[in-house]
Formats: sequence, C-alpha cells, structure tokens
Amino acid sequence: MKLGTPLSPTATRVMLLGCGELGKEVIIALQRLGVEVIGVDRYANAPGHQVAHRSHVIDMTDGRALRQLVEQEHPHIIVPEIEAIATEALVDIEAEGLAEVIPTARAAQLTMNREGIRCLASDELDLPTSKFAFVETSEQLRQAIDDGIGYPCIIKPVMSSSGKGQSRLESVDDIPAAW
Amino acid sequence: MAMQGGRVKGSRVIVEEVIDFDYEITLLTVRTLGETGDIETRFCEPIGHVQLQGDYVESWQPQKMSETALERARHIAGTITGNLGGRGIFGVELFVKGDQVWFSEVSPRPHDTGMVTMATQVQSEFDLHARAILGLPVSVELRAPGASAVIYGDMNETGIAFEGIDEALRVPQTDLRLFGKPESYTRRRMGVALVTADSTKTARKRAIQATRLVRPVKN
Repeated sequence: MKLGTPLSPTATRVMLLGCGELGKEVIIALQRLGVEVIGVDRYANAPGHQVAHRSHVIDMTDGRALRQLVEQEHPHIIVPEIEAIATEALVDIEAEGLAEVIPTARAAQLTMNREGIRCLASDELDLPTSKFAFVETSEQLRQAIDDGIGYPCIIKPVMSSSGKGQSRLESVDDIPAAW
Repeated sequence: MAMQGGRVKGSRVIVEEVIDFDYEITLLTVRTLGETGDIETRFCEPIGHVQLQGDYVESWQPQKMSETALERARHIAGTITGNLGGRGIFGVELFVKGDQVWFSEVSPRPHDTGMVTMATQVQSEFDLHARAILGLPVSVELRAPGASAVIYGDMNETGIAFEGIDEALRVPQTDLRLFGKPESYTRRRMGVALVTADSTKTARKRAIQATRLVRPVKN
C-alpha cells in the first residue's frame, strides 16, 4: 500500500460526495494519512468544505454534473456520504475504471432506495425483517395494512435518507393525514 | 408527510409493521483488507440509540445484549455487508427483543449514531472508514463506555452562535463537536456532545447535561 503527497503528482485523491458532519470527520481522518481530499456538496461552506483541500458545489443528483466534476478532478476513489446522488452515474464511472466507488457503486445504488435493500435482505438473503409492503396510493396502503401489517405501522418514502418524512399510523384514521 | 419528506423525488412508500423491540442498535461493520489481501470483516461493539421520528437524538456504546442476540446481529450484518461488498464501514441498524434480532436498514458509510465512537473507540468510525477505504488494517477496540447527544439549532437563522460552551465542557470527560453549518434550522443537527464514563448510564446523563448547557443564539 502506497500513499502519495497531497497537492503533488503523487497524491492519492479521494472525492467525498456529501460534506456534512460525517463527511467532515472522514475528510480529517483521510488527511491525517496524507490523502488529498476533494469535498462536494449541494451548498457552499458545508462542514466538510471547511476542511477539504478543494471544494465544489454541485447538484449531486445531476449525473452529468457529477461526471464532469469527476473528469475534472480525477479522484482515485469516490466516497458517497449521502444517499441523494445520481448513483447510475457512479455505476458508469466505476465500470469505465474512472474511479473506485466506496464500497461499490452497486451498494450506493441499492441503499439509496429502501425498496432495493429491503428486498435484498428479506427475499434474497432471507434475513429477518419486519413485515413490509411497497405502495403508491392510499388505497394500496390501507389494503397492505389490512392484509397483515396491521396497526401500529410506519410509512417512509422509498427514496430518502433515514428518518425524513416518516409517519406512524395508529389506526385507519391516520391514513389521510399521513398520505 | 411521507410523500414530501424524501430528498429525491419518488412516489412509492414502504409501509412496515412496528416491531415491539426492547432496544435498537447500530452495528458498525468494517470491511477492509487483511494480511493475505482478502477482505476481512470486523464488528464494533453495538451502539444503542434513541430516535425521534427517525432522527437520532442520543447514542451510547456498548449496548448490552445477550450472547445469542449479538451472534445473530453479527450474522445479519456480515451477510448484508458481504452481499454489498467492497471496502469501508457500514452502519447496520437492527431491532432487538430478547434473543430475537431483525434487520432494519444498512448504510454503506459512517452512521449518525456512530459519532459516539469519537469518544469511545481507539479508532472512531471515521478513522475506520478512512483506513478501510485505503485497504489498511483497523482496530475496533473499545476505549471506554460512552455516549453522544445531539445539539439542535433551535432556530431558523444563518450564522448563529453558541453560548455556554465553557459550562458544557466542565461536565467531566465531555467533548463537543460543533459542525459549523452556515444555516441553522430548529431541528437541524448543529453539534454533538461526546462523553465517556465508567458506565453508559452515567455517560448518557452527562451527554444530555452538556447539550442542555449549550445555547444557540442569534448573532
């Protein structure tokens, strides 16, 4: 294992996609090992921007913008810190050997979507999970609850970071407000 | 609510039963290269946490579990991270009731609740991630029991300040991280208290005490 000198031609370059408080600490940890770090977020002066070697503000759900930045910065490794990323662009970037995606582009893609990961865990890997269903209308929601999920239950958007937009239903009366 | 909360547009929702668990944990799982060049999987001590509407408020490490439950938790975490592959740290969220364990979610990156490891572990989850990213050896050794508690913005304002930092840091074995976010919202996480103690019980008390002493103010 060889690590170069930051800001020199030998540098080992890592690009953080997401520069919140978690990304900030990852950047500091990488810099202690002499890694050159490029911080990317959707707003300026994010926590990680304040410590990265270079910072960029882009819409990370825009695959073209993301790819353009990767071609410009030539990171060896891309580290997603959030879910809301154009992960299909990461799949291409990894497949073409432009950069390595941590842990894999497929993992980033699967975990940005609760449906993908839940089906993998429950159906493919046979791991114990709560009873669940995916629905698109309040009618389907009511049906799924009546078909065995029961009350109380929790609904969450399929596409989301943990927690945002959750609601708990205690009875059928809560469905309209939750939806 | 659920239709508007997502950060990426999507019209589908997951509905799931509420499991009547005793406690929920995050099992930080690290995949890095071993001496032979093959991937090795390491598990940190379980982290207990309290969530409010899906957002973490408090976490502590280690969370006491039965041996059977711990074995099951590691099996689940090893299986799901093994399938996802690659190198790095994963936050595997699990529900536990007695010896029973359910998979909830996995994120292929450091976890919010794992910030406690900045106080409790020889190598924090961030050190572990950095090392695993580079394929370097890791240590998941616990240094001391500890806890973390979140400091919220309490107001919608840019460029806020914090008072009472000195008082908070007088709480024994307490440290703070203030993230430096340019904009505060009432429920935005702006910082965290990190505490060690002889027990997680004492550490949790101290962490809450420290966060109460930090007062976000308009500048």
